[in-house]
Amino acid sequence: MKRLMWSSLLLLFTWGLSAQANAIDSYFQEYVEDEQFTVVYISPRVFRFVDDLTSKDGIEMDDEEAQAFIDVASDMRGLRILSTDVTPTKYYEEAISKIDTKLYETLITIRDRDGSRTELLLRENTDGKLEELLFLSHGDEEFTLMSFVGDLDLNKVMKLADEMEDDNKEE
Amino acid sequence: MDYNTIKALLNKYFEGESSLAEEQQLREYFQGEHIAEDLRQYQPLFGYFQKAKQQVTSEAFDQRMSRPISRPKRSLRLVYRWAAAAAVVLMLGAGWFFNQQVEDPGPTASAIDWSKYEPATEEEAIELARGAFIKTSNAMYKGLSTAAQEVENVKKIMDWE
Amino acid sequence: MNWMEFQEQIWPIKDRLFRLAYRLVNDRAEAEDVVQEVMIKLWKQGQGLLSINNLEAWCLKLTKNQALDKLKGGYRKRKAPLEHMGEPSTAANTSPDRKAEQQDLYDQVQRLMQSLPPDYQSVVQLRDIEGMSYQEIADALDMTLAQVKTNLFRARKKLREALEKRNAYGL
Repeated sequence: MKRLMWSSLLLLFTWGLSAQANAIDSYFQEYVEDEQFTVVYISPRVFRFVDDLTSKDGIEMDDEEAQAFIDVASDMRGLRILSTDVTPTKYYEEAISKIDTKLYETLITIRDRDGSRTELLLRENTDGKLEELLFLSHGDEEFTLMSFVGDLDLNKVMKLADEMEDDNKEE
Repeated sequence: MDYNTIKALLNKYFEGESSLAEEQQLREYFQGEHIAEDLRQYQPLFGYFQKAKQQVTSEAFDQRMSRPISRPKRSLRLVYRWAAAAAVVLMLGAGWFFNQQVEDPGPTASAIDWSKYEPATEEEAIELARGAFIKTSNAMYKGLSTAAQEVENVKKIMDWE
Repeated sequence: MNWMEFQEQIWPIKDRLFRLAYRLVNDRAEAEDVVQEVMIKLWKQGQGLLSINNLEAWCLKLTKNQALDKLKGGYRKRKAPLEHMGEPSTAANTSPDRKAEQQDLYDQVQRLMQSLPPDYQSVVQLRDIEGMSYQEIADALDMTLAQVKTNLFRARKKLREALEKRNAYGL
């Protein structure tokens, strides 16, 4: 019990240090306050819960996709999602222009034929460790901005898509 | 069944006036070999309905669900709540301490009260997180599989090479 | 209530719940997730289950809501191919060509269904596929009898128009 207390404290403590740094707090505070945006925050506590729910006394989730998800989730220290269906393109352009490109490096840009765009950006700390992954996308219907804080392993993130791809093949 | 009867039934069906028994008759008719030429265009619909009803959950799912699902322990969650409260106090101190020490290298901190935006239940939060990961993962996958040049860049970034 | 008793109540309807979820989220794995979540919710209610007098309607309602939530939550809606649907129900001696052609037609209907609004999809699912009465559908989908009939009428009209158009243009 005591150990659990301490480990949670430690976890929250370390998260606390990094919580002050995420793109949404820095650049998009006004969106959070904007009624037109749906805002979701998922705390580190929940990501701890993923493990508890799935490993020991929780739901049995033995398929590989679920495992891939847990692998990614265990590295997470917070997830923030902003989305709106109001003028998605405008917000997307605006958001991209607000991000400091000295801090954030573009990992992937996708332009679809239907005009939708997706951008993935990374921010590393001085030791070259991944601190934050930003996801921005817009289509005709929605603009989504997601900030994943944590030392994410991109290989693990990829694995999740791999698993889904495998599922597709099976179907 | 003769053509006129079935034609009348079909009209009733599309008018939303048919009974369950009549709808069953229609499905049976369209399952048969002798479908009138001008009615053949509707066959896929009724055939599809028949087939769609045969779908069942996978064996893996049935197996998974035949074991008891245990309830998440309440006491555990309570501990987290207390821990979280304690940690907030600690964090405030730590935040101050670190702000004193380090010239903030990253984006600046702000006063957003994020706890307001937390989903009501853990399950919901996990669902949302899962959706978010999948989106991101798909984007990475797509980005990587469509642009060869980008693969090279990412490999460098990810230290695969 | 213990797990066995719980199962006895839920098992007979799980496939129906699955089919409704599948209809709405368009993906096998996601649909099974939906049903699993519904079952967990019910299980958590424990004894409360026994006092629900229309369990099936109640479960269908939960399933529909859960499925729609899932779609809102940013799940990508996959174009599910028609699979695991057993052998085509038309004559036994159909050639592979005809089978493929038949499958192709069903795929078209599937896509047609996918293009309908969720309410239309749900009523067609419960009426034309599950063979439920208007009253049962109204209870399950939280609609009035008139709404069920209107939705069904409009959905069938759309399906009919699409089929006739397809026929006319010889697609």
